[in-house]
Amino acid sequence: MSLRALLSQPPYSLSVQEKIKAILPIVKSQLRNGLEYNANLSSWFSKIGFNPDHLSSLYDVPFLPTRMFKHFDLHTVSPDRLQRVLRSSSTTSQVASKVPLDKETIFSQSLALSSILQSYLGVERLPFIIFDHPGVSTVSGDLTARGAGVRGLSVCAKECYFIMLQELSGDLSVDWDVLNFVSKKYSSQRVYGFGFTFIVWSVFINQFIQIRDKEASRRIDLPNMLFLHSGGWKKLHQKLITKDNFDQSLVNALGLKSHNVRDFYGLAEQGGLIFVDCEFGFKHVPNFASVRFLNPYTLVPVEPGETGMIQIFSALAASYYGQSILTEDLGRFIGVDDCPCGRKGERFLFHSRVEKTEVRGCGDTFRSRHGQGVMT
Amino acid sequence: MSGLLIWNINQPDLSIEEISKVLHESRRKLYELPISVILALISKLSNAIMLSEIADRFEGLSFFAQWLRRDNLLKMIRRDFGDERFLDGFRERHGSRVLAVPRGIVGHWVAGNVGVLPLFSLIQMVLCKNANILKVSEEAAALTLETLNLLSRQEILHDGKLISGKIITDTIAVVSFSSSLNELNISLSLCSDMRVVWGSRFAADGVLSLPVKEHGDTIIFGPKYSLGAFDVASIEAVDFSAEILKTVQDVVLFNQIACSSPHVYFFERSSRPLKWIMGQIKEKLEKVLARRRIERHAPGTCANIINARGKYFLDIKREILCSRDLLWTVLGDRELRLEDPVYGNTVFIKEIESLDSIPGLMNRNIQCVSLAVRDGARREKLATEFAYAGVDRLVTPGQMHLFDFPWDGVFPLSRAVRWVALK
Repeated sequence: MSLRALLSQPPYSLSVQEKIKAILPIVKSQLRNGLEYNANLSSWFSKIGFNPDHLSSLYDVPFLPTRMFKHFDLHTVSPDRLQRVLRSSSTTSQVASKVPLDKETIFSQSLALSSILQSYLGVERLPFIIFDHPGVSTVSGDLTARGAGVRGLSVCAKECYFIMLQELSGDLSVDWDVLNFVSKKYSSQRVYGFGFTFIVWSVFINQFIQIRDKEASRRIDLPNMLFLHSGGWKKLHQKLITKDNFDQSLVNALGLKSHNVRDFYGLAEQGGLIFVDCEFGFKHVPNFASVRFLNPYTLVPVEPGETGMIQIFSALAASYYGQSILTEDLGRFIGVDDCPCGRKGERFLFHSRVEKTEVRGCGDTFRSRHGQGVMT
Repeated sequence: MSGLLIWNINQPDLSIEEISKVLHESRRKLYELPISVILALISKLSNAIMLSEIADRFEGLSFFAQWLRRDNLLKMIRRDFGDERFLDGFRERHGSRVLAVPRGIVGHWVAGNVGVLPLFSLIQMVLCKNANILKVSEEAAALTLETLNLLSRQEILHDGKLISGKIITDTIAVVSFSSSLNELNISLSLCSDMRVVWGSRFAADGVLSLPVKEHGDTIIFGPKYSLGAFDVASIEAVDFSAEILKTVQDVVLFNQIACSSPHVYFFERSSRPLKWIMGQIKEKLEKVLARRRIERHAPGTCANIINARGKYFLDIKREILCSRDLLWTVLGDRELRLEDPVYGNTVFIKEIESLDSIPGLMNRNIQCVSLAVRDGARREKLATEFAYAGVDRLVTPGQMHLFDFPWDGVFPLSRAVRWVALK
């Protein structure tokens, strides 16, 4: 089955066994290209004795740590085929990830994302309310995780509304006029919204609380909105904000139904793939990808019910090494092909980022700023 | 009063000031105990640890027990004082009669990275007959208390009298509280005639900012980095394999998180290819780790190892050997530089033209260099350069963690006493 054929099917229609069988030949061909066009990948494969031609299981594709996108050019096609390099700066590091994209990959990823979103929003294009400011997804410069989310999710949009403004100081403020306009226009229609979790909490909810008794906020009522949000949980956990607190605050502010507040997980390095909470609260993996959870120490896949580092296999990354990526995130593996929502494939819960090591004491060496012989 | 004063923030039976008062009352007996008796009691503790099951339960305790051997401690005192009997009475020293008098109460702030570190810190101060308040991490508290309990049960016959280790442990208090409790840190600092700090820059700065007695002295054993180097002759020698075994033991002891744990090794270019040397290290790592109780790395360390491996797999100029799991990793290249520690039995191997270029990489953060250089004159010349560049200790493979004096550029025993003259 070709990737195009795989993408033409409903995204959660295949069992895990069926999809890993379908993905294997696609990935195999992509890896062969990687071997041909990328000296770094060729070096790696040679050092571990890996030959794509001998690949018999998707799970035998060696994983690449996500951080390598910051250090290496990981293209797997001839450089002249590349259309652009997605540069995604993370919130925790100053170094941007570089994801080389060709036309085919851009198209496949867009198709994949659209297909995933349709499983949650339906096939009809809907008004899209963005809980951020318009500058977040401008084309110039590096695209942040926030910007990538906004751009990616607009694939199902009929119209886009940004409901925040960026002040000269860089601070964000809610544009209540736009939000009220949207609320009035679409109060009886289905819409979808998206915001970066911490921005939604720290800007929208915070400013809503400050003015909630005033006229501006009383008019907001979007009962048919599906609200998607992603990222930034670490900062909320530090403020002791739970998912329930977050969801309930949005329900109060926007008049939407609590089961329509949906968190999703995704990576800039795995474009086209997002793992959205279903109505039962589980994240699902579509036909064109697979996910495993590795014990952080043994690197052996964990059993259902256990937590491990999230490894993502994807058929979408034709132009770069996205076939098997190991994230620095921990997820709890729930099961396969068994969600009451009816979606097949793996289901899981996001757990947390892997905590950075804090080596205490006299072995806690630090960077010296003196002289050449520094620990850099 | 029990042998050990265990003070806990949740059950504050005694304040630090009250603990200090009790210790002052008890330390007179320790002061009057001859150093030979103290050494005999500690030596008995060494045997007791080796015979006890606690040596199996706690990382590094067997190593600590060997360090406690009488001959070793005596050698260290003599290196520092010249003669241990200065601790017992006035003696002639270059035309003057002098006595080494304990400073009083030593307050220790000890990081939790190496479980036996509080014990190393303590024993040197006990040898100088000081009373001690040890602030330890929660993780290190059990090991410290169990060992001290064992000490309190040791007895020796001296001048027809049974002397108990309790005389020593009556002068020791073990406390554990959060570093953020500044009032307790201030109390500990103000009760201390001398402060000893083992820890990160953050911890050291924290203690240095505390008020201190006018006569109070402070020794900081701060954050450090360690490494090793082999010259051509050592690499091509017949006993290279044995030297690598010792090297690997240096790497894995204390889970590679001590300041004396090596992270980088430089090898002079020789007839032995880089990959061959890496293979030797791999073989020894597998051998040594198979015999050790394995402590799992923290998830963050696992992520660091995975990322370091990723870089060396992808880089066409670099080499890598590693276990299937994350137990050990050998990373090889030819870049003349130090590397950020990865920990988790991860060692960087670097083939370079000449060891003569390494002193240029050194700085005051380097604690120990394992220097395998066959020619004595060249070794001493290199050591002189390393020392000038900031290195505190230069040892042979297998000796990196051997807690010896001087340490971090300091003879701690001399600092732990007041020298009193009698004319």
